[in-house]
Amino acid sequence: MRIVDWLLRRRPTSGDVAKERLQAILLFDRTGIPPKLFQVIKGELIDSVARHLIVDRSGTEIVLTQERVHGRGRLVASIPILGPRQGRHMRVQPAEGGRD
Amino acid sequence: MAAKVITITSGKGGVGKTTVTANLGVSLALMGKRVVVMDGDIGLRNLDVVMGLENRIIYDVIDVAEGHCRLRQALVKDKKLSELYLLPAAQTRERSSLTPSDVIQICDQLVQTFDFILIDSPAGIEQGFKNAIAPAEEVLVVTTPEVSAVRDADRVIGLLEQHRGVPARLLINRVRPALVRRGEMLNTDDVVDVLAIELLGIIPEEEGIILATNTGTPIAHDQSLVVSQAYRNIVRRLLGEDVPFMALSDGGDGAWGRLTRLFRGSDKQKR
Repeated sequence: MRIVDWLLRRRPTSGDVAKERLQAILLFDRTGIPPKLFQVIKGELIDSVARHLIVDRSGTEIVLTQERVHGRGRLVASIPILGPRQGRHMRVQPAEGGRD
Repeated sequence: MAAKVITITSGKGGVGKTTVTANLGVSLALMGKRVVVMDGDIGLRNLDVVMGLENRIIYDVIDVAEGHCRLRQALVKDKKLSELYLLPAAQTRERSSLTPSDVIQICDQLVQTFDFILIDSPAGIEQGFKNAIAPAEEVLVVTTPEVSAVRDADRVIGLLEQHRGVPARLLINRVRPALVRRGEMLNTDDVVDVLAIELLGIIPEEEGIILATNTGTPIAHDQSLVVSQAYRNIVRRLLGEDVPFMALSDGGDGAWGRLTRLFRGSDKQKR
């Protein structure tokens, strides 16, 4: 939903519902990836990064670009990083040859 | 100059391919072009009915393909427009009776004597569709602003890209501006966004089309209607002109949308 709609607390119309359903249906038709699976993949991706770095989940954008050839596409993730996590996760073996 | 061969298809049935084909044919002929409209729906013909020529059919496309008659004998001249012809489908045969190369050969015979050949594809993505797109230099994909129609249009566009690679442009048919305003119908931007092909035209819902089909007189003959202006604009775009899209919100809402309503609303439309 657009920001304006959210601010005005506009209830979704059937047209909004139609557009969302259509996008989900076409995602599946084009890529063969069920929408629920895509949600799972998104969640796991963010969780995996969040284990090592502090991320801004609300600012995260993960998009599956689709081509009309079945199964082909590109997963593009844009995850805002706010900083490293303190603690033992950061004690990674330094690379050979010293500092980065 | 050789005729341009354009196929009108959709995937989903009932979105208006035949009506669009007939009215584009009429609109082109009204602008002085020589046009043949070809019914690709073997076994379920209805382009003849929409054009009111059902009593004038002697031979059909299968007769031509099988050599029972000359192509010229199968062409039915329109009742009103002397530059508009119909090549009817066969009613008692099946789609497998015709092959893509049959259709290509027939078009090859027609290209020198006409400016446009419009092929009305049947619904679906099987043999009839493949026959209809075989000779096309351009394909018009017709959809309505509904989830199922847009989904099928997407599939068809994908098939066109894979199998023929001809340019496809979109016609969004049966748009109801009042429903779009209330958010209860997909708006045309949404449809164009998801289908991601060039938009050729937006055609409003028009109750008069039911009457037009009843009497066998395509609606485009009534040039005072918003829907006929939409067809004229599409034809001008087909001819290479850059025509801005009408703001349909001022037009009729499904029932006898007359152009005078547009002029009362704003004079942007006069351009």
